[in-house]
Amino acid sequence: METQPAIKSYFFGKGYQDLFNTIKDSWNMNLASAKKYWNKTTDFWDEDNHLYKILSVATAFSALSVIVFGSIWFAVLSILHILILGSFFLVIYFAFSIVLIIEKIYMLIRGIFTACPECHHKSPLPAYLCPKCKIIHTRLIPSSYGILKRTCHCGNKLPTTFFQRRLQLKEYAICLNCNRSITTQETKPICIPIIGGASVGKTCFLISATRSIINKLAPKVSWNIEFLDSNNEIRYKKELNNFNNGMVPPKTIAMTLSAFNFFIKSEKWSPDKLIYLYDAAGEAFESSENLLDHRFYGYLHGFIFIIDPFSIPELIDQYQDQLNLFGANIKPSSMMLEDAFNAMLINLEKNHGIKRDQQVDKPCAIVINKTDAFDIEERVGKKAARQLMIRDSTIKSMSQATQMLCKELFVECGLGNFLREIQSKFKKYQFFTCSALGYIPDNSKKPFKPYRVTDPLIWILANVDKNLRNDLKNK
Amino acid sequence: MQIFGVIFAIFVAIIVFAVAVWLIQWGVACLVWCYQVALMPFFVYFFPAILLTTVVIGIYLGSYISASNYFISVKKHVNPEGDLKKVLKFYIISILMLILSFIYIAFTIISCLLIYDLLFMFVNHILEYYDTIIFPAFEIHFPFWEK
Repeated sequence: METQPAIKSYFFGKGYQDLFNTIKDSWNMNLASAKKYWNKTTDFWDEDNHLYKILSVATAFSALSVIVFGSIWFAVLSILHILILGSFFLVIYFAFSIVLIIEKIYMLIRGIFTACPECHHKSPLPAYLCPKCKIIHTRLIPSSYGILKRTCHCGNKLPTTFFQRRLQLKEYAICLNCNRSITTQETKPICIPIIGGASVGKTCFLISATRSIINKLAPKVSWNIEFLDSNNEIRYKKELNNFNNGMVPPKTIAMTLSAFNFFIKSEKWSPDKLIYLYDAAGEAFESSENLLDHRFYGYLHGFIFIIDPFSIPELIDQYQDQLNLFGANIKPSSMMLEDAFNAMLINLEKNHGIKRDQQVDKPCAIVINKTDAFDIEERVGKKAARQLMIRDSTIKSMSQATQMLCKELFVECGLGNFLREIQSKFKKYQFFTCSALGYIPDNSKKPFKPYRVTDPLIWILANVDKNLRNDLKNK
Repeated sequence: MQIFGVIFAIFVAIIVFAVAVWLIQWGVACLVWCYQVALMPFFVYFFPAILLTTVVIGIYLGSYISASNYFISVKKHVNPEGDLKKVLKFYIISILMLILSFIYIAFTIISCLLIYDLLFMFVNHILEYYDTIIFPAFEIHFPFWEK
C-alpha cells in the first residue's frame, strides 16, 4: 500500500517500536541497577569499619542477583510482554481483518466502485482530500493507518469505512487519476456506452431516453432521478429545451468524452445507482485507436448499439426516392454500421482483454433508430410485431417478434454476416426499434415525440441490476 | 638409694608419658567432637542450606529489581495515542502483574512446601545425627591401666 499522509496505527508500527524500547530500556536499567550495587560494594569495601565490609558483601550479592536472576527474570518478562502484546494485537488484527472483509464484501456485493466521468479511470474508491489540510488520501480504507478512522498528519480524523460514514467526505472526493473533483459518491455505477457512427442519433437517443425515464418511468416505479451535478442538469435542460422546440441537438464533436450521469434513487434499496451514459462522437468509431481513451470499456455493464437504417446500403437503395426528398432532414449516417461495430470489437480485443473467440457477457441492445421515417415502423415497428404475433402463434412476446423482424430485415439487407457476428460475440443481445425524435425533423418547431426509447435502457438495467429488475418487473 | 631414685624417676616419666598420651586422647576426642558437632554438619548440612537460602533471597531480590525496572520501562514507553492509551497500558501492566503474582505465589508455595518437607527431614536428620554423637567418640585408654 502506498504511503499515506496519515499517522500509522499504533498496532502496525509504534506498538513494535514501543515493545523494543521497553525491552531495551529495561535491560539498560537492570545493568544500571547492578552497576549501582557494585559501586556501593567498592565504596563500602574501602571503608575501615567492619560493618561496612559486611554491607559490601550484601551489595555485591545484590549486584550479582540482579545480573544473574534479574537477567533471567528480564527474559521471562520480555517473553511475557511479547505474548501479552501479541494477544492484544491479534485481537486488533482479527478485528481489522473482519472490518476489511466486511468493507470489501459490501463493496463487492453492492457493486460499488468509482468511475471518473471525465477520464474514465476506475478505482475501488476515489481519493479523498483531508477537509482540514486538503492533502490527498488515496486509499481511505481500513489499513495500517487506522481501522475505523485514520488521523491525517494535520491531526484531523477521517473515517475509513462505509459504516463510519466515509460518505460524509463526498465533497472532498477526487479522481485518483486526473485529480478532478468527483461527486459520484459511493454508489453502484451502471456504465452504458451508446455506440454508433455519426448521425445515427446517439445524442437524441440519450436525451429522449433520459427524458422518458424521468417523466414516465421513474414515477411509475417510485424512482427519484437526480443529476450527478449541475453540468449534467444544464446539458440535459438545454437539449430538452431544443427538443421541445423541435430542434435537433448539435453534432457531438468532442473526441474526449464525458459521461452523462444521473442517479437512480429509491427508498426500497441502497446504494443509489449512478447511470453513466457515454455519448461519443460518431467519428470516434471510425478507428479503434480513437477509442483508446474510452477506458470505460474495461468496466461497462452493457452496450447500446444504435443503427441508422439509412446507413444500410440495401435500404438506401429501397428508399432512394424518399431520401432524395427528405435526406437533409433525416441525415442518414455515412458510416457503415459494421465499421462502428468492428471498431468497438477491436477496441475490446486490443485494450480490454476480450479474446477474438470469446463471447462478451454484457448485454447488448441493438437499436434501430429513425423508425418514424417512411414505412420503417410498418416493417419492424410495434404494428409489424403485433401482426407477426398474430401470424405466428409460437411468438410469445413483442420483443421476440421485434427480434425476428429485425433479423429478417438484416438478412434481407445482406447483413447476415453482421448478424452472425453479433450472435457469436454477445451472449445476450436484443433488437429494439425506436425513434428518438418521433418524426422527421422539419422546421415546424413542434416538440419531438420520441417513442420506445427507454426499452433498450430498461432491458439493460434489468439485466445488470437485481433491484432495478425487481422494480421494472412490477411496473 | 640411687637405684630407687632411678626407678622413681622412670616411674614418674612413665606416669608423665601416660598422662600425656591420655591427655592427647582427650584432645583428639575433643577435636573429633568439634568436627562432629560443628564442622561436619556445617559443610554437609548448613552450608547447602545457607546457599539455598541465599539463592532464594537472590532470586527474590534480582527478580524484584528486574520487575520494577520492567514496569518503569513499560510505563515510560507504552504510550499509544487516543482512547487506547489507557486501555493498552492498563492491559499490559495488569496482565504482566497478574502473571508475575501468579509466578511469585506459585514459587513461594512450592518453595514453602519444599522447604517445609526438607526442613522437617533436615531437622529429623540433624537430631538423629546429633543423637549418634558420643563423647568421646572413641574409647580413651589410660596407658598401662587395666580396666
